[in-house]
Amino acid sequence: MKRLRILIPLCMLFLLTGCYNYRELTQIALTSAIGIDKNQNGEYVVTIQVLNTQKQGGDSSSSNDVTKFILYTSHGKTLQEALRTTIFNSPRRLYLNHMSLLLISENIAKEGIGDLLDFFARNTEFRKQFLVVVSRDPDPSDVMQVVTPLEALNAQNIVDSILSDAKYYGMTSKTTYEDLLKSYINPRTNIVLPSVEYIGNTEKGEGENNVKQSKPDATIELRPMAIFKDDKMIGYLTEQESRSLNYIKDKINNSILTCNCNNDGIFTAEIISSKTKLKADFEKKKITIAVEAKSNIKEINCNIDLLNSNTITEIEAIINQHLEEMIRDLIQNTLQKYQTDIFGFEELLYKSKPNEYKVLKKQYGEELLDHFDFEVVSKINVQTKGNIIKEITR
Amino acid sequence: MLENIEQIVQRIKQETNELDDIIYREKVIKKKKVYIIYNEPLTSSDKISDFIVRSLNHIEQEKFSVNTLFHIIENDISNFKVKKVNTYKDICFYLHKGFTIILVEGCSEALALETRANISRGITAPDTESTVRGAKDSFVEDYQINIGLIKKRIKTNNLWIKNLSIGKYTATQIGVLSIHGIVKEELINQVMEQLNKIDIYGIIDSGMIKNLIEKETKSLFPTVVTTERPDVVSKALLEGKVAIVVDNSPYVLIIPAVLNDFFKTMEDIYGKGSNVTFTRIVKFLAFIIALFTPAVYIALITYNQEMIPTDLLANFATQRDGVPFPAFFEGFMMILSFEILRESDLRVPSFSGSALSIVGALILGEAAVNAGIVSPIMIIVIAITAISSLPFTEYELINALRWYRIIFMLGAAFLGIVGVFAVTIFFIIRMCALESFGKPYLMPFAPTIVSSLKNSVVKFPLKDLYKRQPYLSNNRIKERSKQK
Repeated sequence: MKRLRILIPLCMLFLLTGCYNYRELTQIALTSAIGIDKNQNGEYVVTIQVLNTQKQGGDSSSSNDVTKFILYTSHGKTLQEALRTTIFNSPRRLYLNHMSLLLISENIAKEGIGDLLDFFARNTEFRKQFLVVVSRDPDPSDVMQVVTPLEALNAQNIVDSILSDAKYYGMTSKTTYEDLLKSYINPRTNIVLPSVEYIGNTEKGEGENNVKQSKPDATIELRPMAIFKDDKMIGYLTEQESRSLNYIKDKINNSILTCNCNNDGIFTAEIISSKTKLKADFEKKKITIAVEAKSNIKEINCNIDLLNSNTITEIEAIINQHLEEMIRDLIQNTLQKYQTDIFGFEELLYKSKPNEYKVLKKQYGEELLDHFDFEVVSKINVQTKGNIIKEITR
Repeated sequence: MLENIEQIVQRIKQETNELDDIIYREKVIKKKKVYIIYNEPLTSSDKISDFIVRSLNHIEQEKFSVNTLFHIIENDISNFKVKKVNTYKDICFYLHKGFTIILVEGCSEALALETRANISRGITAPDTESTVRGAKDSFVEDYQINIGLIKKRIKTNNLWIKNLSIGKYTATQIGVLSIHGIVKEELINQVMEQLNKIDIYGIIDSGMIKNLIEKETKSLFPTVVTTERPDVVSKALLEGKVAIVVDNSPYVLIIPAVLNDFFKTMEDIYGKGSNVTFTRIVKFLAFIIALFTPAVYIALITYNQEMIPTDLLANFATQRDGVPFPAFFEGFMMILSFEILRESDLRVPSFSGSALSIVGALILGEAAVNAGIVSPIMIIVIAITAISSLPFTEYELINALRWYRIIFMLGAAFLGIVGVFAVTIFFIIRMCALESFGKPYLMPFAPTIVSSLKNSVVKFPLKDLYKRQPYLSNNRIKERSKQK
């Protein structure tokens, strides 16, 4: 009897939970990406990419017959409303934990993304690690419907290409929702997001036929970064500016630089283990950007003698000068053209001397950075010259 | 009391219901009646005719006083093992043990002469605990041979054996072996106390003794090692454990047994430390896999999908598509069919074994997946679980794992990962509370005994293992013959 008195509550503990949060895999729709746009009525139009987990008939090797993902579109006054009403189209409830990509249309980005942020931060089902990307096409569903080769799931395709670009070229940087939120909340930093664009034939790119040919009708291309002021997008950087920005932000892992030789001709160097240090000097009103890196010569198309040690010094000087110019141009252009601090210089000033920063900010307001000078110091050493020494000529 | 031999013979005849198997041979020596009684199926008639009858014939021709006949027989009989018995109860005991009883008219004592027939199979290789390297002999059903196999390995006066017989009808001989000077006295006393408490109609196998002396009757995990290898027993005795040999059983019990003992095999002693360590790690992993895999799988795919990488989850989802059952039920079904298969495989005669494996592999695996009743991934989960429970030689341990696996699955089915953790906590508390004859079951991990950890998950070189475990012996240092 005594044992029963313990046993019954113990059983109830398990049995009366009602299997809270229980969901079989066959009841949920795995969401891989969400695209957000607005229509004329000011309602959100949400495109949801759901993994197609239907089992293929017959043996598993002939799995190319069925699409890898399905797109649902719905609209609503809020994002939650729009997402919930996908139930009208989809038999299963959306499962958002595995979402890896959020596509924001250019229109919304220009209007301001501040309203979007609350939903993703509040909802417990989201991981904050998905990437946020601006879609240059007016309708993000155009991008999301492309069936991409190699990586069947196009959200994963975009994520992977951003990751490998950040690793080997440095045009874009991996910006997760968490990063976005951080730079939005902080008044001294501004948002920068990578962008993508649909390249090719819109009509043909949707079908499975797109991957059945060696040259796909449509692909998704990674484009340079979109820059924001507060929560509004104000423009795109060029490819070179995008890279320069990453140098300043110390987000370059491995990249390449193509420079002109002293005589005519060009060469390309690979930049490795790049490290950038920012230093603020309040007295001289100067910010120093010091880039330190190693490089390997990858390609030479001009007549220089690499056996001569002076040549190496010359090449290093050319590379350094080129990079310094790149960075200086970017800073000048953005500060003049957009009046936005996408580099985090204000954050740097604040972190190095908070009190003096506050005084200066009060004094100059928005134009604080215009009163600063920027010094770019690049120190890149050439490490290897490759397998051959001279230019190949007849 | 035994003077009237006719009366005794009559009594035996009456009590055995005139059993034909008991042979009464009457002989008259110097006008004195002598009875030779033996139990035919248990005795060797060669021995009786060669040694007893011939000796008696020889004695008959000698000259001596009739009154000393009993002593003459006792001295002159050419049989080595002679026992004097003086009660009717003992006469019957020895008669049923295969001894030949000689009753002499007018004497208060009788003689019991060992004439047992060899009704035991020969020593064979062990069936259940095979090793690649190591001795290939195993215990048989004969008590004397079993004791011999151990004594052959341990040649010392300190190997003490306490005998007792248990069972009203079977009077089974039981020997408690220990090495004096190594074993802790209180352990021996504890074991003897438990054995003396046993009051039962009969003992058929050592398994019954095991059930009767185990204190942790509600525990699923075994607290006694059963083995059929004499080398395992000898090793255990040298460590300070106690072995119980039961007549008619090829399995010897070793007491006490902690969880770590079930991960050790005899080969561990022979192998290099580093290699043995690898095997042990594999075994511990197998133990964990066997317990947790189905539960964790069920918890992940029904509650905590966020913990699986996206690609893998998509893969799982595709495989689960079209399976109409909840994941728990699907898993339970597969475990059940595997258990049925395993049980049938154990019982079925070997000639129909191949039919069984075809049915098992094809119908339960391939066809069930194609029919959409189970998902392929569930087959993999159950298969890895099944093979992971097999590297243990102790059958009871495998069965205990089976129970806990289902309990873990229930936890997973009701509460997901939280449920798995809840059951894990219960499991660990339960294991910590277990004792084997006063020794904590999780020794040497909890409580931690640093010196014993040298031979637990890792195994140090044999040279470094010169200390006995403190919970087994007060005589910690393993003495060497060349010392002093």
